[in-house]
Amino acid sequence: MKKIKKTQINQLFEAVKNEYSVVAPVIKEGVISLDLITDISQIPSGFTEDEKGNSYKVAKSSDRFFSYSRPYLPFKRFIIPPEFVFMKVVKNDGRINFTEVIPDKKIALFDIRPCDLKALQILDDVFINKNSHPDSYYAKAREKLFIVAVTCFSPTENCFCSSMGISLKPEHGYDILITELKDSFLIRAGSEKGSKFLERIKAEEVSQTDLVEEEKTIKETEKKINKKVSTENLSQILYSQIDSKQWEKVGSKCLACTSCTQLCPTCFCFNIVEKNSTDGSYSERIRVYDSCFNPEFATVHRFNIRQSIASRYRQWLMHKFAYWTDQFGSYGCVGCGRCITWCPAGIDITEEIKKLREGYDNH
Amino acid sequence: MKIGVFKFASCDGCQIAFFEISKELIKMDVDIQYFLEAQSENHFDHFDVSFVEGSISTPEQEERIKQIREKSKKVAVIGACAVSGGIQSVRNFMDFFDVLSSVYPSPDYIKSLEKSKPVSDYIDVDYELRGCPINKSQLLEIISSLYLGKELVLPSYPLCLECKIKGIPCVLILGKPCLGSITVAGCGAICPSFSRGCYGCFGPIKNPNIQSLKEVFEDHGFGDIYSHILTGFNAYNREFRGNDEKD
Amino acid sequence: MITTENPYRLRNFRVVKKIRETADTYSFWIESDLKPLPGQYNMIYYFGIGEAPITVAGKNGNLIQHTVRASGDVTSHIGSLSEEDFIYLRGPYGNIWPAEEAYGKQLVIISGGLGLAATKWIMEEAIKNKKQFKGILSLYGSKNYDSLLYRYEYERWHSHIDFRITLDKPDPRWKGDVGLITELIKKTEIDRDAVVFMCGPDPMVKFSVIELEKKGVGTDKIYVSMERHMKCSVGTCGHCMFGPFFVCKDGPVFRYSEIKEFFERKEV
Ligand SMILES: Cc1cc2nc3c(=O)[nH]c(=O)nc-3n(C[C@H](O)[C@H](O)[C@H](O)COP(=O)(O)OP(=O)(O)OC[C@H]3O[C@@H](n4cnc5c(N)ncnc54)[C@H](O)[C@@H]3O)c2cc1C
Ligand code: SF4
Ligand code: SF4
Ligand code: SF4
Ligand code: SF4
Ligand code: SF4
Ligand code: FES
Repeated sequence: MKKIKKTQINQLFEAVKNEYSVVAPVIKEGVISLDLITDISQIPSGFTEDEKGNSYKVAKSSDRFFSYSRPYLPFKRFIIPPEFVFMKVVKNDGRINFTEVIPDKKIALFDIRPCDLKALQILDDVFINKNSHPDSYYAKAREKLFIVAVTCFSPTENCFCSSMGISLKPEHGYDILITELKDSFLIRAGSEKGSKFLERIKAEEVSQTDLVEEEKTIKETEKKINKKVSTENLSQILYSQIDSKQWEKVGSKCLACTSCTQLCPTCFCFNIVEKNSTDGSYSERIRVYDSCFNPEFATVHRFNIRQSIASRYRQWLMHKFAYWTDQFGSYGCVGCGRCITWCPAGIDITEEIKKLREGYDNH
Repeated sequence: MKIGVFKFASCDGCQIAFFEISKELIKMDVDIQYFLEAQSENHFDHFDVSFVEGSISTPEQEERIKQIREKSKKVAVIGACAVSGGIQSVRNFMDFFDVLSSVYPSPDYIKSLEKSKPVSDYIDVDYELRGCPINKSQLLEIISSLYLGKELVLPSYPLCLECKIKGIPCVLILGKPCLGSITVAGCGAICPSFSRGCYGCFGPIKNPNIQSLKEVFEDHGFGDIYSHILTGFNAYNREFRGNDEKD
Repeated sequence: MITTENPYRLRNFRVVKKIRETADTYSFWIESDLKPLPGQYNMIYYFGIGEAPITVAGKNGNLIQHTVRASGDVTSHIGSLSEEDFIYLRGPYGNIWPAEEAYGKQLVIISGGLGLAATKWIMEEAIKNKKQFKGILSLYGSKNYDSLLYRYEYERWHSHIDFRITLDKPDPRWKGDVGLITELIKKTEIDRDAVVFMCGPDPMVKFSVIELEKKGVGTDKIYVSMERHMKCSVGTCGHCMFGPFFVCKDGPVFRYSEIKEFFERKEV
């Protein structure tokens, strides 16, 4: 662990940029989003999101460097893109040749917060670790990632990561971890790759006071996180509520717009479509994000098994908080709150869980 | 492949898409038999596929569309007018003679059906291309699917999915009325990508949750949702018309 | 360094024999070095159209059989393949029929329509190991006479096991049972401790289970091969999800008692 001056963050950034294309939070289209950046000044320092229910504003705020929260878009888009060709197929004299497309970009995720870092580990389980046919595209992209995590001191009103068991200072899963103190950054390496980067930066020793300040800021931040999901026995309780009337109630409100699933950092579903050249000699196999809210998602013999919006909402919530635990041994939610902020219908998943829990308790 | 392009009550805008895909059409050995807008020599004989732009608005058009159906293996309706009745179907929600006399000084000379209706109210339709105007790549998709002997697959999901795939921040949350969640995808999320709300030119998805979006609009102070939908191109679409139709 | 073979890699094999089973259903015998087991399926690809999960209906040496009903875009194109053509596929995927569960007991196989493609191979294997079972009963329900599959095998099957067919609709050409398969189950003797392998449309499964339960067969002795929308077949696209299960990798064969609570609910 080391300590650098605030102005030195630029050196760290440049070092990373020399080897990787850097993806980081930026202000774009009026929100704090995510994009490739080439200069540290593109980071939205001094801005903060104001997220209340399903409203969103960005405003000038504190003078902290990492003054904002997790970005609007999830990082998964830079590992498994929303739409990409994974196989090119050429037809020649009746014979077919396949070319597999493998990601080649070395990407650094710069400033990923604990919620999104945990989401990445969850996706690792889905695509590689707990899969007997690991996804080679994901694995390749993942292998080329460099991860710069940031201890999170800026929760929004919709964040509930702590109740999902996530600590504001991640323990592992990063190459470098930055913690912002009042006058400096603490920098930890979490991997060999990360250590090598730190060696190149002239840094100071960390003092006991620094650690005290770090600990204190974490404690203070935790107090600001008011939203929560009570996870005690949660999956069993939800299984018992599979016939709850609550599904229909929320189903009448939900627009089945798919936004929540698209912005959720752990949702992984995709469709495969074929795109053909007009002369019939070339075809691309394309993976494109899909959603269980899609009215064709579970179509068998031209009939979607989940006709009602209520049943699609149930699939989403049950998957995140019940099915996922059986499938991958964790929840499929990290409490980032994006699905709350960006739900046009104003549905709050933590409130829905509360109501389902009440339904259970009153039985 | 013999094709025909026909126009009914419409603005000609959707036909322009044919010019935009002309390079690809040449490669596919497409024989355009009938297309008044584009060529002087036309044959009304037999078509593998006929493209119909425009709504059915007069008694002659009603006859003509039936003839086209007889001569065509497949009929594709293109654009909001043909699919839903178009902007001209706004009259369907008012008193016909009031409308007529407000537009024409001598309404007696006007031969018009009381309602401007979608083509599918008169004949069976094989393909529907949504939009005002249509998306040219969807038009190409119809022709190349037929050419390659493939089923046509167009999205049935709401625009929001397309909008989110593109990573556009939701303009509804940012304070603008957007019909994306009840509108079928396919346009490329053009309006939200310019920070504007979708006004529904691609028409409704199946079973749209209009009631909920109506409440969302009211909560945001966007006014009554029907004042957004029913002044639009798809007002007379089956998913909407039940609500306010005056017979 | 993670080295993984691309799960979407397709391989080509030659169609050596094509059999017209019904007006819209064909069997293909394919020369391949794949080693599928009864119950598993392959993803078959058709250029420019897409993929469809298709059960392995049989295996004979280095030949594997697929029976495909031309019901949609992909399956129609696959159905148009001829002998000597290449077929492109990946697999095998999914789990298998647990035949040893039925050793020493009566094995009951219940198939509805195209479901017979998914049970035929295990039935053939059971016939080969006939001595392992107390008896083998196979009930097959078909919509009508014209959609009967594998007619050329019936005689052989009859000679080995108790194989019964019922048609939903009567037909002048048909002398056997008529009525839904549930009727056939009702009037057939089935041991209380029988082990049942079943494949057919969801409603058939649901009502057959009710009849079987009436005969004292436990739902933990009933195995069902399920059909769901599949895109990836490797547990990542989400389409086949059914409660906590991925039908593509946790199935397609499920012990009924384990899926009952989801199967008997609507829209799961
Ligand atoms: C484990 C398993 C084994 C199967 N075995 C056989 C078999 O041996 N023989 C056979 O003829 N059929 C079998 N089927 C059904 C067959 O896979 C579907 O009929 C086929 O995928 C439909 O695709 P299509 O493009 O021809 O039809 P369309 O109706 O044109 O397809 C509609 C859409 O649904 C998608 N789809 C994906 N999976 C399914 C599905 N399971 N059912 C329906 N639509 C689906 C298609 O890709 C397409 O996008 C099996 C299905 C499963 C799940
Ligand atoms: S969910 Fe937690 S880690 Fe993520 S941005 Fe909010 S407070 Fe930070
Ligand atoms: S379910 Fe909602 S809060 Fe949980 S990880 Fe997904 S988007 Fe974030
Ligand atoms: S919630 Fe829906 S979209 Fe998200 S991973 Fe689960 S099934 Fe897929
Ligand atoms: S974002 Fe809200 S309205 Fe849209 S699908 Fe999710 S819960 Fe439903
Ligand atoms: S901007 Fe419109 S189309 Fe996009 S997600 Fe929001 S409501 Fe849907
Ligand atoms: S088919 Fe993709 S998860 Fe099962």
